[in-house]
Amino acid sequence: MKDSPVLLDVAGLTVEYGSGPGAVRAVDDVSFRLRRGEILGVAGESGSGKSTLMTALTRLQRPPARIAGGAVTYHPGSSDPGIDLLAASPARLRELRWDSLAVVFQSAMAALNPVMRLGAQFVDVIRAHRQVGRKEAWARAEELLELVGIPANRVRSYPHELSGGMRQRATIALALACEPEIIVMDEPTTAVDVVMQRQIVRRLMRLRQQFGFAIVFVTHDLSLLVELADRIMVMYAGRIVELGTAADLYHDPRHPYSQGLRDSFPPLHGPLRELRGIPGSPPDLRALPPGCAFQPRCPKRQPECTTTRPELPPAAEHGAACLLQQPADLPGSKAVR
Amino acid sequence: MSSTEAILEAVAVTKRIPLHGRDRGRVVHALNGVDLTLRRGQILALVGESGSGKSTLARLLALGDLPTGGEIRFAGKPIRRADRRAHFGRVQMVLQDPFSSLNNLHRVRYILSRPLRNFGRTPAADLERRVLDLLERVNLTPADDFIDKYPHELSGGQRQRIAIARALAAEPAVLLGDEPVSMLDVSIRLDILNLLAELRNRDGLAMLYITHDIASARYFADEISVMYAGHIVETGPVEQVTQDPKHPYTKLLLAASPDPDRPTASSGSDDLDDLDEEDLAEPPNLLAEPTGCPFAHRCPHATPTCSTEAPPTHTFTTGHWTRCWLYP
Repeated sequence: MKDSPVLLDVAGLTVEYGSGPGAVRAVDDVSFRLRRGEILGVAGESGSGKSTLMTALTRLQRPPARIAGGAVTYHPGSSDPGIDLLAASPARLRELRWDSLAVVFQSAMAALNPVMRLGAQFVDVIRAHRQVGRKEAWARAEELLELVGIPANRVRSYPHELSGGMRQRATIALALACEPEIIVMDEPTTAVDVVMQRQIVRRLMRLRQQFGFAIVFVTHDLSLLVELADRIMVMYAGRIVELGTAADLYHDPRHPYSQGLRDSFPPLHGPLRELRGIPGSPPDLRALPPGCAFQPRCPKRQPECTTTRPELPPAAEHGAACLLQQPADLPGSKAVR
Repeated sequence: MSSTEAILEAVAVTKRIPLHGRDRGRVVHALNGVDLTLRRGQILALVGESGSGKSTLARLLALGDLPTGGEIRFAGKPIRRADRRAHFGRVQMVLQDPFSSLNNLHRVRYILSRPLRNFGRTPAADLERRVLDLLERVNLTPADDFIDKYPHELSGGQRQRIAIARALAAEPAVLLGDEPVSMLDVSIRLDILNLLAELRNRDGLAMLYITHDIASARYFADEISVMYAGHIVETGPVEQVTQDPKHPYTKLLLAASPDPDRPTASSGSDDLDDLDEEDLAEPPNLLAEPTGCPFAHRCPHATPTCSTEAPPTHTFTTGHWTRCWLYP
């Protein structure tokens, strides 16, 4: 996976709500690369900017959110210069959505049209991107539903006739309709219970093997990500605080926040000890603390943490934006990755 | 452990909810012969999927609604409708969403002094001191800073602390927590659970902890009851149920829970092969008259008997029992 070609290159992406002096920076200078066929997990608490980041990647952000800087480049197939998603025209975006880049949202009930049969919604998507007849599109809809374990005859059902788990799987099937290369999933399993979550995740893994798409998987459940993702990025107050493989993040978290997050999940097996979580609460983005945004809650705070804002080491396989991780003599700790 | 005094019990509780409109005449079988015992100084976790009846049971225990069969007992005595007022003071609830369970129009002072006046007959002169005490008990310190705040000025974790303080104001013997931490950020959930455990230790409260997170139930509770389709399918001491589950549904629940330490983690390998590969079963139909085992249609070990005859209760060790035909 490490050597797969880069599919999506995000550089210095910054998203603000509002403008001028009152603007709130929800995503701040975020850079990462999504490789072909990989599952990139994004973990963070509410207000960490993870959902804002996803809407910006897919250009689905709505005012007052606006992209204040950075670049998102999509590299389809082998065509080299890549497509600048932030500069793409609405018509170009329409072409790319569903076809190359699909999104699965948290609330399946809100993502599906309540007054259209399931099949009709699939047909809409398929016929917007593929030159196929209605009949063929309906047949394809049935195929897609079966792919996620929904009986084909459900194609004529309305969303309210399905259970929550089925609806969520239907939105995943819809995302697969045009065999996109990237699927962005924003908390796709939060609204379903654990057994259904496990089934959805397993389906997803199997489908990825079959079709080879890459997934950006956003959730607050780090324990799920560790099992599911290839790499994980942890966000705090709009910035990436740590990026590394799932195993690195679980066995050797370097940022105190990731350590706290990991230790917030009691184990299912093995010895129990008292866990403390992370003291304090997430910061107010309108009034971020000086220096490192995590320092007021950090158990390892140093005096310089309140004055210097640590940066994520550029291009490291596993790096944390923490002063404790950065030898003082390392030049270019301001560098943009 | 189970020798401790029972304080609040559900005995063979059944709840049928009649439907209206097009489905008039049909009933939802929300709870079917449920037995549950809360003991002084103990935490009982109730786990199960959404729609399994966990919250319905909590509502009946709090007397927010009456059972259609069986009875609720407090300190050994059956509770009747006439006992409601006294019961409300003894059994308090902490709800899931602290953003909707607190009235946004009132200050913390008012929110906390209402139960003090309604249940505690606290003299007006003492109110402020009692409110400050409550805030300190839930670690909202300095209490003076919080007493005149409105809920919107507080974070989710702080609001949930207020909700807990409000429940404590009535000086209850039992606290019913209906997913008290699931709406909170991961990093502050443990804080709240630790606070509840501390209150249990200090005041000897009995607690019901409703959750779908079996790992937190293991961390926090003394006993676990597993619910499926309005039936309790397994109950036992927390370590026994989580480390040596007996009922196939409990096993499924444990196998499905995220566990980074699972030997075959990542890569999506099929570590669930003892479970039905295509177990995409739909939620049980609660409109049908319950016959046999509620889990029979999904159970990998199901036999014809399972769907026709109710399984017997089998006890393993003290306090650990399951209802399943697998155990003679």
